[in-house]
Amino acid sequence: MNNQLEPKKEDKGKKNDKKKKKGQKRTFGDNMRQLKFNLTTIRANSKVVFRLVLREIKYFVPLQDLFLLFFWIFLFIVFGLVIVIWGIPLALSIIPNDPFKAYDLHINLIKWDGIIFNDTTLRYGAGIIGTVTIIVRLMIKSPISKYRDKVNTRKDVTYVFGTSRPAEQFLFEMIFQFGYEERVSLIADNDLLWIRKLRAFIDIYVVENQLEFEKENLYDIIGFENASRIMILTESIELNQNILTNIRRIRPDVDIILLSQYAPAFVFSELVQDQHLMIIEDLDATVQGLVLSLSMDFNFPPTVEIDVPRTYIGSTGVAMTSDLVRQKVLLVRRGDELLSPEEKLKLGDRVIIYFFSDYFMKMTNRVVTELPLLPKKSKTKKEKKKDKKKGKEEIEINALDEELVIPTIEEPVVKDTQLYDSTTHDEVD
Amino acid sequence: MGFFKRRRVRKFAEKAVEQQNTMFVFGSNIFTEAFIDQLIQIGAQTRVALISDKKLNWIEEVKDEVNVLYEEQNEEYAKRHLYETIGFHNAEKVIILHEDPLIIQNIMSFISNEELKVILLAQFAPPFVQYLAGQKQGQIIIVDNLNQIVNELYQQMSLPLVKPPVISIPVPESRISKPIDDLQIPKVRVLNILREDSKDKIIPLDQPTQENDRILLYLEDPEESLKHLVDFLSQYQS
Repeated sequence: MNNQLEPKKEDKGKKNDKKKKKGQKRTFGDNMRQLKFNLTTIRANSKVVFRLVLREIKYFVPLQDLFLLFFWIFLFIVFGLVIVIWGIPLALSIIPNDPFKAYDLHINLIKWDGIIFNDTTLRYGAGIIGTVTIIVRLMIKSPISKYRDKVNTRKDVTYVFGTSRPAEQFLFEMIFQFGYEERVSLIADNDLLWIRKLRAFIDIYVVENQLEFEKENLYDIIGFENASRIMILTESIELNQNILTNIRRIRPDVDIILLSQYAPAFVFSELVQDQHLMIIEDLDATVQGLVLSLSMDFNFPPTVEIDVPRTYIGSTGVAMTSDLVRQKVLLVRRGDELLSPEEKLKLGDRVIIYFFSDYFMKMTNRVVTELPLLPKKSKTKKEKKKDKKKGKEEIEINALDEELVIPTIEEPVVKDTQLYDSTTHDEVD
Repeated sequence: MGFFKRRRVRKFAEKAVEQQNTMFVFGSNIFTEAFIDQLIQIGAQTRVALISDKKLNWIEEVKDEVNVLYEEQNEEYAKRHLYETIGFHNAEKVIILHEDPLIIQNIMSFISNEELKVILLAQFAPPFVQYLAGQKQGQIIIVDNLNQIVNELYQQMSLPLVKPPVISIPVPESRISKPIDDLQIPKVRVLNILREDSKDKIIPLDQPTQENDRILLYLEDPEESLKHLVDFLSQYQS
């Protein structure tokens, strides 16, 4: 009997395997969900691009004025040349007695050509071009003014000072992994090659001489009016001190962040009571890491915790993994609870993702950042109409109450019990 | 190396053998100071030998508790004699906390013992050493303090994004070529196996592990989880 049953078991096993294989295959619904997510990504990206283009236009408006000026100068020169070369000879040829003498006209033209294109006029021409060039050069802005104008077209900027390793890693992650390039700006103390890589993404100002950090002018010119916080991450304690004191002078309310290993000694003094000064205890974290490394070899894999993208609410983390390129959902966090990726995702859940590619992580994060889902659903048109009606009725009632202010005799308060009794009594009747 | 200097280095080496120093720390910066302080607090000062490039007051203060050698000439770090004289007899770990990449590379090139573990900070690790660390996993450990610093910076940014407390550790030797789905560590969630071969792969826990695989872990309570994790690993090592 057992022998007869065994093949059946095997068949069942095979069927299960087939089912599993079928389960691995993507259904039409899966593909549609992926398509929807891709469309959402495009929407989020286009939103960012549109914002960037608008910002660039905003910045280039003064340059447009300059272009218009040059255009008018050019038109004026062309107009002048046309008059001098053709207009005047033509007029001269017309004024004499015999206006039909084409020969005279020809002679006049040759004469005027000689007058205009001789050595003296060419010298004058060169002189004029030189003067115009000097004026143009004077009109072109200095790098710091350019930087100020460009950075001021943004809101809530985090200014990063310095070119240290923490600054480098922080900026690269912000830009290439998570797509927050609009929120940061760099004021560098050295012109390094890695900074040039970031030029296309963020506003950067490289100080030509580090002594500039000591002077007030740098801070007065930039202004830092749109600064939400300032991170001072240079490797020199002296520079940090100069930057800190100067920033505090012009923006006493802005949050300043310093690393404890490069923090000037005076910030630890009890006399300094600055609520907006935050010192990151990187020294403690490093020592903890060192002590831990004595007993184990550990590192931090590239993971991130973000809100669930809108497309995947009601779906699972496993489905998300199969749709996303080079990313894997490791865990789902619902409040303090940790759930497996097989759990159905809800609004407000957070997913912990391992990413193999910075680019795709940036795309996913952009969807979450640019198109966040609000916790409350927006009301339907019918509900809105109902609300409006209710509102109108309430207003009318209130208006009536206000109009009917008639002095009345106070009625006895009808208690709930009495009401109950009366109804029961009615029912009995 | 002059006679007196050689005598000084020999004295240091003899003391290291006497005290059975197992950790040799190179450096004198703020990280070195904080690390030595931490080791003294733990009570591990007898296991440490410090080779400093500067004479500083804090080193003079700990000199009674910790075996110290001053080597202020940077050229000496580029010569074999220094390392040969020190000997590193009982050494298990060499911790390099220098900021100068040249000194770091010099020290690394003369410490060729395969049984020694070399520990560095990511902030100061030169690219060549980072490459070596990738090649010799387990022997060269780079403590990723940059990641911790950047995490702290992220927390200040109030972004809708968090770097979760996920770490990876190597698979214990006794569990290689076996599945690890039965691993249970208090306050730690074992997530997946990470196989960093030609293509990065994340493998479920029920699959057999391979050499150089790492385990992805989520630390539910960063401080307590780490304690439990250290206990767990020490059990496996013993």
